[in-house]
Amino acid sequence: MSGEPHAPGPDLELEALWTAVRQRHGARLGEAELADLRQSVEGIVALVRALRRVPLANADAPLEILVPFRADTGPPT
Amino acid sequence: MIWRSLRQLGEQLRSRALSPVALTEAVLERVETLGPRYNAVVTVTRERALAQARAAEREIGSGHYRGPLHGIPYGAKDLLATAGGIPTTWGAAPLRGQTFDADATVIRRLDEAGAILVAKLAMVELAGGMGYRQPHASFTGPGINPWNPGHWSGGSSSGSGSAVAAGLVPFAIGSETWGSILSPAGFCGVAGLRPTYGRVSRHGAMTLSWTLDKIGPLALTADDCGLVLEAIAGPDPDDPSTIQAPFRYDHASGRDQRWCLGIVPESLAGCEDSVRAAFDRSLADLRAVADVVETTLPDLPYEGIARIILGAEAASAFEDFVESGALAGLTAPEDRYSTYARDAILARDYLRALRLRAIAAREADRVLAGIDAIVAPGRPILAPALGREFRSALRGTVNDALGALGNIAGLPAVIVPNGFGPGGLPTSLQFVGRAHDEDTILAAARAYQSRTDWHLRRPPVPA
Repeated sequence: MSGEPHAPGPDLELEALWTAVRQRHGARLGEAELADLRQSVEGIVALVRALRRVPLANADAPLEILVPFRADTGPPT
Repeated sequence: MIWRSLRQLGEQLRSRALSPVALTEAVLERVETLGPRYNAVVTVTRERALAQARAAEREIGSGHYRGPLHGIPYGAKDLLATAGGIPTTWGAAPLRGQTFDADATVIRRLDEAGAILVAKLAMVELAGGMGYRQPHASFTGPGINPWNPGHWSGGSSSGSGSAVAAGLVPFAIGSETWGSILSPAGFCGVAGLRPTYGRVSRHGAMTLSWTLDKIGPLALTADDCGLVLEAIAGPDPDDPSTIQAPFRYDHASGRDQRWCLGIVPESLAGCEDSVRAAFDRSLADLRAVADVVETTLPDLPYEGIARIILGAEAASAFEDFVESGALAGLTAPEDRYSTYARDAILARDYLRALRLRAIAAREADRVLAGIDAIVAPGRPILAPALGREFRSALRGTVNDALGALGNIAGLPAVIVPNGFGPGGLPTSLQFVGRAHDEDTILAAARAYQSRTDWHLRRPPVPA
């Protein structure tokens, strides 16, 4: 353990996501739009990191549940 | 005939003191002459309206009275499908010619109640789902506020708010994914009801977000909203998300004991001064009938949860639209590319947002189980000026934790006017209730409106 502080490196997740977005859509956008879009991607990454900081238990499930479909009878009541 | 409550109009129609045809013709005249002033109308449905009015006149004349909406004209946000070649544009220029073969369930239910569709009302393109950040985001132009034409009517149910406020229609139907009923109702000084998720069928409505979209009424009073909700609510086999229990509006419910209303400190953060002053005055009015207690919401990223769910679902709902290149035809420049960023939302993060939503919904219910409703400013800001970028919870530039929680948890809310700020622009008050309990928040809002007269003020519009 050296006590040297690490220099901040590139944000690999952000750069990977931005690269994917830019490669898919960037050709049709100008510089100003690209800069704006980059800001939006940065905003999304910041949002999901805030969500990831909230602990979840294994059993914490979404509210949505699968209702197996049958056109003839519908779900049991 | 203008600016009368649905209950007043209904009684006049039932007793035959007022003719449905005469009322409809008067409303059509206002929609056609004043609608363009507010960019409120996409399509006037004159032929359909007059046919419905004549049918209502015959039925009421023969003693077949369907109920409180029979013979009453209304407008519908232009994301609800209408048959008969009437366009349903979703507010988007590339979809100006879009038509459907059948009416949306909400339109059909209002038909069955005897209500008369006079207009498809303007809205922000694709219900604001592409990331707009200024009022000029519809091919019909920016929604103009009847109280001050230099300001926005709100969105995305822009025409629904301005048309009711300007007395163009007695009531309107809007939709909310996050703020799209409460914003135009609050900015235009009318009542708006966001029902519990699943209370009203979305069959035939444009989808922005399957797990957030709700349809509800805007009208002059909370009581009017209750009357409309009863007509449009209920299970629908064409929309599996609908609540199976029917809804009956209990307008007669009195209150022997005092109300218990909760204040959430987060809802006061960032409020403009006039909004805060109006809220404090409303609390003083409410304290005559209610105990007001401070309520604490758990520390969760409500707005982040809402933004990730909405972003991921909107990206999927409009995938074909985006891939087709149709975005280029939208009105707001930012709507032509902002949604591309949603490719950065990973599946596991969307699922995390859904799991956190479940925790938020349980926590919200725990809080609401101990009180009658949360009371809060309806909107933290006054209607923004036209031609300027505005602050928006959807982009994280304004605080709306309560709105985010209400929408991710599917909770009902009713908004009513509670004063005016600079520029003569309305301020508003909202009551947020427990899931499935629209009756309680409507009763609380009625109690407030029975003690105040903000809902009786009218904008400077020809009568």
